[in-house]
Amino acid sequence: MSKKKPVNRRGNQGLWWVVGGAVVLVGALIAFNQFGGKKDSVVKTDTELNAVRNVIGSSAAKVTLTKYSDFL
Amino acid sequence: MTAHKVVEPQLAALIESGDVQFEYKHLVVLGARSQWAAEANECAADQDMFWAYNEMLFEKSGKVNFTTDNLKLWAKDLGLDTTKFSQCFDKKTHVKAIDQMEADARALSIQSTPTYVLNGKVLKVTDFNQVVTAVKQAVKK
Repeated sequence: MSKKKPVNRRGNQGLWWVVGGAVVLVGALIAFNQFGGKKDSVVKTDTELNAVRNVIGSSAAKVTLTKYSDFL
Repeated sequence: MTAHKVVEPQLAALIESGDVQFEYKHLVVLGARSQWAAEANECAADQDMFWAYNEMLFEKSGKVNFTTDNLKLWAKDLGLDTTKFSQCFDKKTHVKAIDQMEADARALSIQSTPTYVLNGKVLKVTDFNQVVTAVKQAVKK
């Protein structure tokens, strides 16, 4: 009769910790890409930039600079 | 380096401090796609996003075609209300305003882009850093 190999519970536990850690790490990376990454590319509105349409900066400024431009 | 990369970054602090007010006016000299871009930029302004869209147009310039579809797609990328944007764009809502800007340029005998006007006076420069120098001198006066 063959003997059943004893289950190495401690080894399995270690494996589960590694798998669990990997899952958490991947989750954290996805979360960072979804939310953390966007912080660098936050788009400001004109109001936040103290701009009214195509004019930015204080209307009391002593210097005004106008740029006539094309995009291409 | 383009004027956009040279001048505006160096003036950001002076604009923020209240010393300089900066105005961007469209002067379409390069055809239909430029005109569409100008109109799209004004439609973005309707949603408080003139400068974000303006910056994006300069970033895309030379890399991606300014088709009407792309101009609308970029509005979506910036989080604009695409229905309102498309209505504005398709109805050519801001053509008159752009025409007025071009008339302003003609009144100053401006024929090429980019051209900078400092306190009402057209700057004749050979290097865009000269624009920055002129502005800084005007602030110090």
